[in-house]
Parts: sequence; structure tokens; C-alpha cells
Amino acid sequence: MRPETETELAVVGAGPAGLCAAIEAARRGVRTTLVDENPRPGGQLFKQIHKFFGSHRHGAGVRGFRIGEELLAEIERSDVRVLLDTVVFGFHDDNTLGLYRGGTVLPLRARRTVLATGALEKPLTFRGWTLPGVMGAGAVQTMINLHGVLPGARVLMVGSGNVGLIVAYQLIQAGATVVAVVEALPAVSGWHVHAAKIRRLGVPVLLSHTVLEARGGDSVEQAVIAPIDGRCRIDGRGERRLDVDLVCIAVGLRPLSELAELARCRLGFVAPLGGFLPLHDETMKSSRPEVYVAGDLAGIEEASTAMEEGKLAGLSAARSLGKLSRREYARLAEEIMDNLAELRLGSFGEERRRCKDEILLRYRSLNAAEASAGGR
Amino acid sequence: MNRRIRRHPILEFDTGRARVHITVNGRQVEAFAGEPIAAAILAAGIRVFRRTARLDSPRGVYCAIGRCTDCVMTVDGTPSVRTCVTPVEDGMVVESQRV
Amino acid sequence: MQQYDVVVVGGGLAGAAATFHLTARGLRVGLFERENLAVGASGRNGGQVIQLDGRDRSPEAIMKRLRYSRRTIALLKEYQSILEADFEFRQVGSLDIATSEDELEELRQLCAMQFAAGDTEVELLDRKALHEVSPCLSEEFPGARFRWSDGNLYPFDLVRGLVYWSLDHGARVHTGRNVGSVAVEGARVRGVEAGGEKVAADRVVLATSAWTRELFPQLNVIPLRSHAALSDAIPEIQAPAFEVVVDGEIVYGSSQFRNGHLLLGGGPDRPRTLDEQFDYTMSFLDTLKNASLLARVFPKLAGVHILRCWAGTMGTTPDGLPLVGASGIAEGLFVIAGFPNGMAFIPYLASLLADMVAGEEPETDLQMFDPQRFADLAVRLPDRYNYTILADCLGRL
Repeated sequence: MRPETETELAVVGAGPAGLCAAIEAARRGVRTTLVDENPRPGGQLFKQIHKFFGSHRHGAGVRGFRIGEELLAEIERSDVRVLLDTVVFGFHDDNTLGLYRGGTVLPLRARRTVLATGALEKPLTFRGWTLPGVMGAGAVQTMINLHGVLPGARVLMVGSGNVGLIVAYQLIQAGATVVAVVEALPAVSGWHVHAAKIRRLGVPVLLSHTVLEARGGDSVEQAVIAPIDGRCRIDGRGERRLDVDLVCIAVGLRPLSELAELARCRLGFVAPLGGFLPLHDETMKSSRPEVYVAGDLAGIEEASTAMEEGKLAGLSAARSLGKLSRREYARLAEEIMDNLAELRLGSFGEERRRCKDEILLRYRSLNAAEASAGGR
Repeated sequence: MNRRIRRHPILEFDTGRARVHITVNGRQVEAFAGEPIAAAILAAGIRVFRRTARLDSPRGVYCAIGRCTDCVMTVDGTPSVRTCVTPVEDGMVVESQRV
Repeated sequence: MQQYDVVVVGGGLAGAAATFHLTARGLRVGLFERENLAVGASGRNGGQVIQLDGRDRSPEAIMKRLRYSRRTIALLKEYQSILEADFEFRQVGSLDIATSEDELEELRQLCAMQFAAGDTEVELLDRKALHEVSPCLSEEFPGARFRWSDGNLYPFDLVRGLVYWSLDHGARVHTGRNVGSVAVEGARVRGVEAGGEKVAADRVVLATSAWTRELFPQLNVIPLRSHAALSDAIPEIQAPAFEVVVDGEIVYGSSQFRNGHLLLGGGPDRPRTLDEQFDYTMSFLDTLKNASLLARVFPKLAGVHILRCWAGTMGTTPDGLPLVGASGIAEGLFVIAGFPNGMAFIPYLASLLADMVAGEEPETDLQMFDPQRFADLAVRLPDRYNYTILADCLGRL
């Protein structure tokens, strides 16, 4: 097996899911190559400067970027070959991944692949949304927490999910003024503890409101907001103009499923988990037998579930390569599935658990349909 | 206008990072070695990265993760470089483009 | 049961143009498309508008061809003002590039013949003139035949514009509906079966390209796979559409689209079976070879990224001319399919066909496109073929 162009396991995406998948597989002796298009691994972990919730086992009370540092240290200690600044542009029928790195194109033949390509923020279109000064919340978070740059001084946050609330708080920590948070629904979408934190700092959270327009010459100078009713009808009488230079969009993420689709994994549309995502079974295997999925790609959740799913995908791939016994696999997989179940408790977790179960059901009916049609 | 964050309750930004210089549309801009070009540009208070071909609309940074192509500029003569995922190098020449 | 004056099958440019012209004549049209608008060759090609290539070698053939393509240019301009879609029709010219002095000499003679036959919009460019017209082109090419009234358009928007206009004027469009069969009774068309339902019409127009043989194998439209690559957006360059033979394979390219992208297609493709002509997957090597065409033909653009590569299936015929007219299979069954070079012909031919379908005499005859002209011709396709092998095989017919 030539190391440059062949590997036992290719892991695409070095965020929490991918890192955990690679670490786990390498621990079992699988020759693993981890690929990421960024110059540094860690995915979105490093801009998470807030403390994680959950049990101690899941790193509760630890800031995201510390968890990231631990994972990176582990990867460095392992045998995993890490290819950074490398784009995976293709996934061909013979399990060859097309890699683009440093101006050259390379094939990487992998016996198994874990796709952990993460997610992308959904845009919201409204008049003036292309003006400089309208940015995704994740983009703002990257700028303030990773690069120490404040993209605006007076902010309108659109969306009161956890991302919106947390980034609003982080903007205040970075020295900006959050003029308002608008939320289209009649209730806060994220955890109340996050909402309470910013309310205490004097930030109004306007429910049943939306942004109508971003105005300005060459960049945002003002935003127009208005109340909406339960049927998304705008109440023009309640229109207000806010003096802001940054409109931050936090309306959700969607899985980055393009590579999975190129790999001919069957996708399913699961709205609460972000949209189109690769259907998979409880071992994280996709509809294409050599391909596993993990993390936000498999449904938008959190870093903690991403890490567990990554571990599981890595283990499943290792098992399928004969690197651990059925008993050992069963024991470890069960533990992970227990962890995942625990992470999917509570009012927020409930919906996600339901959706993940739905994915399993749809995966099974895929196989049934294909079996009755005479198999692939 | 300098948009660098000077004080932060948890993070520190200025320690030990080497400084480099790039030019953006002829203007000298100071940057930290290794940071994305877009960060340096935003830090310098520049918000318009390019203008669109048909409607001449100003564009800046939107996703900052290399996916949306809002932030593309011509870097050292190469067009359509994603400035949000490309690290600065000393002496880089960055220009707006009509694409 | 749904009822129409005419059912059009196929949502590519041919079907869209047929629907438009039939609707413009006041007929009630139902357009049925198995998947979505322009998912076949119409949505995968480069949109080059090439009025006259090198196929026609006699003055008569040249004159005939020009008649149709010139009227198409005029129609495209009319569409620009009628349709609510700007499909970027730009007459930036087209190049038929020579790769050797011998080839250049052939092109010189071809130019002379075409000019004498009435094509006043063609000229032969030497190396220097070629460089002026397309400065980024590789300087290895000694010259080219240049048609300055040719150009490019953006096919999606043209298809969409034609369909939306038709919708606004009374046509009905059904995407995601497969036409499984055409109902023929007593040698007359009665309608079609679409998505399991019967649809009544006494006229049916097949605009089904490479898929025509699924309904009627005797209509000899030959499926042919091709692939293409799209470059990243780059600032404006001067680059007419072109065709050139590189390393024995035809490579073609669009001129630049308004959003800055260049499309290049063709190049090496391994011979495939008939069924494989519909296989859209690209292997690693396919992708690599296809993506490297840009650097090969435009060395100055070697650093430009390729965003995506894809394959598509077009329909061609034994003589490279489309089937347009009455099918000869049943009364009321018409066909407009088989366009290896569609942009410069489909609009006008669709308009003539609409005349015919409406029971009128088309202003220009459709004789040379008679769908029955291959009735006595036994075409044996090679087991495996690509563009070059097919051209070779058909050239010998």
C-alpha cells in the first residue's frame, strides 16, 4: 500500500467529529489519513470560547477551544497522517477521493471513508442583504474570537437560537453594542440561560419580529425591523429603524452534504436537523457501504454529539476492516450510544432524538426498497 | 479606523504575533502573520472588498468559511482568491475586482 | 382527463422553443418533462451559438444551413425583447482553430468556399490576428476560421424564459412527469400516457433528444456522452467561443459568461457502450483530464481553478442534422430532436415546426431535416464509441 495515494481509512473534515473518528480508528491500528481544507484542524471548536454544558464526561464547564486543544494533542501523538490545506473535490465509484493540495491534484484510494464535513450557515434574504456589514453569526464569531477583529460596533442579531444568543454575548465581550435581537417566533429559540445573560446586559430580545431591510451606501448603516404575526405577515405600522453597522444572521445551519452526494450516498430531508443530510444507520454507516458519516453532516446538533458520533464512525470503520472483535465493538458502541442518548435528553434534545430515529427508519426503508428491487 | 479588539475578558490577541504589511487597493495595511487576508482588511476598517459585474453592488464578507465567494479579491495578480481562508504574506498585493 | 391541442414531450431547449412557438400561434400546449427544465444537454452545454461549422462542404449545403442559422440569430434577438429573461446572448464570435499549417490551409479553402456561398461573416485569421481576437489563447495555434456574428448565450435562462412566457400565455407545464408512451389509434395520435395518467391530444411533438429511441427506436437519434468543466469566475477577458482538435480529440469552449465563468468541454473520453452514454459519473481520471483542458488551451489561465466537472448526453444523428418534422409513424406525431449543435438552429426550426403542426406551410421547408430520411439506412453503431469513433463511423456511411 503506497502511503501517498492509498490509505485504509480516509477521514474528511478535521472538526470534532473527524478528529475523534481518526483518533479512535488509529487506536485500533487502522492506517488513517485525515484531510481538511483549512490550514489548522479543529473545525468550529476554536471559536467556541464559551463553556460547554452537559456532563463532566462530555467536557462540561470546559471551553470549546480547550477541548479542541486536547484533541489536537491526541492527534499529534497518534499515527494519523494529517493533510491540511487539502480540498477533497471528488469521490469516485472506485473509492478514489480526488484531493487538491498546493496546486496539485492527487488521488487517494481509501478502503473506508468517514465524511465529517460539518455545516454551513443558512442565509436569510431580505432587501440589502448583500451589503457589506451583513454577515453570518459564525462568520462574526470567527472574526471576533479567532482573529480579534470586530466587524461592527452596533449590531442587530437576527435569530435567538443558541448561536444567536451566544454570539450576541460574545460581541458584547468583544466591545460591541448589541442594539437588539430579533426572533421571528413568539418565543426564544435557544436556552433561556443564554437569553437571560444578554437581557441582564440590557439587550432587548424582540419576539415575533424580523428584519426587513439593511440600508446604507456602501455598507450597512441602518436596519429596518418589523413585527410579524403567526402567519409571517408583516405589520408595517410597527416598523422601526435601528442605527446599526452590523446585521448578524443566526437562522440555523445546514449540513454540508455535497461530498456525500458526490459519493452517491442517499440523502434525506430532515428539517429540524438542518435539511438534506446523508441517511445512515445506528453505526453511522451511510447508504454506501464503505462510507460513514458523523457530526453536523449527519444532522445539526452540537460538538459533544459530534465527538461521540465521530468515535462511533471510527470504531465502525475499524470493525469493518477487521481491526476489532464483534464483542469489543459491541461493548464500545453501546457505551457511545448511551452517551448519545444522554446528550439527547431534555426539551431540546428530545426533538433531535426523534429526528435521529427517523433517519434510522428511513435508512432501513431504503435498504428494503432496494432489496425488493433486486439489490444494487 | 482600527477594528482590532484591544481588551477582552477571556482572550488575548496581540501577544507574540509577528506583524507583516500588505497593500489593499494601493493602501498599506498592517496585519498579523498567518491571519486571513479578510481579517486584516476588516481590521483596517475597510468594508467593501469588491463590486459585482452587472449591478456594481458592493460586497464584503459573509460566511468567512470559504463557501460563499463574497470576499473574493485579486491577490498578487491571481483573481477570485477567497480572502477569508487565505493567510496574509508580507508584501501581498490585494486588489478589488469587478467579478 | 387532461386535454391539449398539442402535447410537447421534453423540457430542454427544443421542447421549450416548440412550446413557445405553438403557444404564440394560439394553440393550447401541455409540456411534459420527466425531471426538470434543462436537465439534459440543454443545461450541460456551453451555450455556443455557431451558425456554420466545417461540416458542410458544398456551396448548396452551406447556403441552406445559413438560411436556418441566420433566422435563428434574428429570432434570438426577438426573444431578447419578448421574453422576461436576459439570457446573455452576446455575439462575441466563434473560432474554428487550426493546430497545424496544413489544417490552416484547409480552413483557408473552407473560408473561401463559405464566403463565395454567401457567408459574408467569416474570415481567416493568421497567428497574429488570432492573438488579437483571443489574447489568452495558446500561441501554438497558427490561425483560425473566425465567424464574428457567432457567440454565446446562457441556456438555462433561455429555456426558462421561453417556458415562463408560454405559461403566462396559457400553456401548462408538467415537470416530474414521465411520458411512458404515445397513444396511437388507427394510425393517428390520440395522446400520451404521462405519470400513469392519460392525456388527450391529437398532436404530439417529441423533443426528447437522446431519449427519443425509448419511445420510438426507429427515430434514429444517437445518444452521445460528453463532459465539461466550469472555471472559477475571473475578471473579463476577450475570448470568443471556440472549437479545436487537441491530441486527436475535439475540445470546445464557451465565451465568458457574465458572472465570469468559462466553460470548456470535450477532450478525451473513453469509448462507452450505448447504455453508458447516459452515465453521468466522472472517474478521477476523467475529471483530471477534463479539468486540465483550460490550462492546455489557455496557458495564461493555468492558475485558474476549476469549480466542477460534469457529463451529459446529447442526441446526434447519422448525418449530424436534426430530425425535424412529421415522424412518418402516425398522423399527428412530430419530432424535433438530435442537435449536436443546437443553439444556432433550434429556435428557427421550432418555429417552422410550429407552423407545420398548426397545419400551415412553413415559410422555409424542412426537407433536409426529414425524420424519415434514415428509414432505409441501416446504422450499425460500434459496441463502444465516443465522439471521435462515432464521427469516424458515421463519416464512412
